[in-house]
Amino acid sequence: MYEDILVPTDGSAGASTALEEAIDLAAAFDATVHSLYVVDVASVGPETGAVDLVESFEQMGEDVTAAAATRVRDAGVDATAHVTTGSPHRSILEYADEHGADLIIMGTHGRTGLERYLLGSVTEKVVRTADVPVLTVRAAESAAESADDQTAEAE
Amino acid sequence: MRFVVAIDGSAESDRALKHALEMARAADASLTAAHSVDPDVYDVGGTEPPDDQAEFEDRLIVESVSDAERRGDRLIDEAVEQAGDAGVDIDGELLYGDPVETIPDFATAEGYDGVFVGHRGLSDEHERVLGSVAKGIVERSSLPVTVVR
Repeated sequence: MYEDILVPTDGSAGASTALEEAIDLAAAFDATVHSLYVVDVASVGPETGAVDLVESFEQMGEDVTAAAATRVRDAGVDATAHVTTGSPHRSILEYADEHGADLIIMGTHGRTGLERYLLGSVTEKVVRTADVPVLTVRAAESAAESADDQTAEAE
Repeated sequence: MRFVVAIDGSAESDRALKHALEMARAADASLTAAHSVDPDVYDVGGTEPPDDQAEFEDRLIVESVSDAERRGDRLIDEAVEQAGDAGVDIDGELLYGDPVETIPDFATAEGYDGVFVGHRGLSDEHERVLGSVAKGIVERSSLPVTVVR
């Protein structure tokens, strides 16, 4: 069914929930989970020190995807980790295309009020433009408050 | 595992159903094909905007609820038949209202594990104005939603 599942990550609670879903699906279908972090150069800007900033984002990307891959492998599932640079939604679609991903899993915010109805802009663009199926999972509200609190994960 | 697949008779919804059937068969899950009865409004007028309210009302034809219901029943029957061919356990559910609200509310209230929905390949500009059912369902749903193009 699914062989290569792409989970873009930014280290947020939503991405963590998406990874959890990816692990469950990949375990069921014997698939590989691809963790991808995109350094959004447009968010850095041309100011002095931008090069340092890009490097620190790259470092963060390495850390976040390595942690994700470890979590996946600990569950007995194959994993890869990648960091790339560019516009987030385009980079995600390019990666999916190049690596033949057959599913993209992304988190949505679990907030209340008006924000509850607003997707993250990257998720929104990927849902709208991806050729492959996109699975969206809502981050639990408790998880949104404490991103690293893995005890908040529901079955 | 139980999943809802939203169907509306479009090519996108056919692809979502096909994907949901593959997934259900692989995961030994059952499906509910849900269609929301939301009568269509047709504009039979020309390209010019109407001059007054009377002309506006003459131009619009609202599909009757019973016609929309029959259409929904037929779509569900077709989905059930397709699932039978694929060997997947399926049932149908006719809902009433805007699918952006009825599909996620039904899936959540009935304790399903996720929703499958098709997505039209609208242009950026088109979609900014109209939005899409798929996006609306993703935004409203607290359950995992798989959007299939």
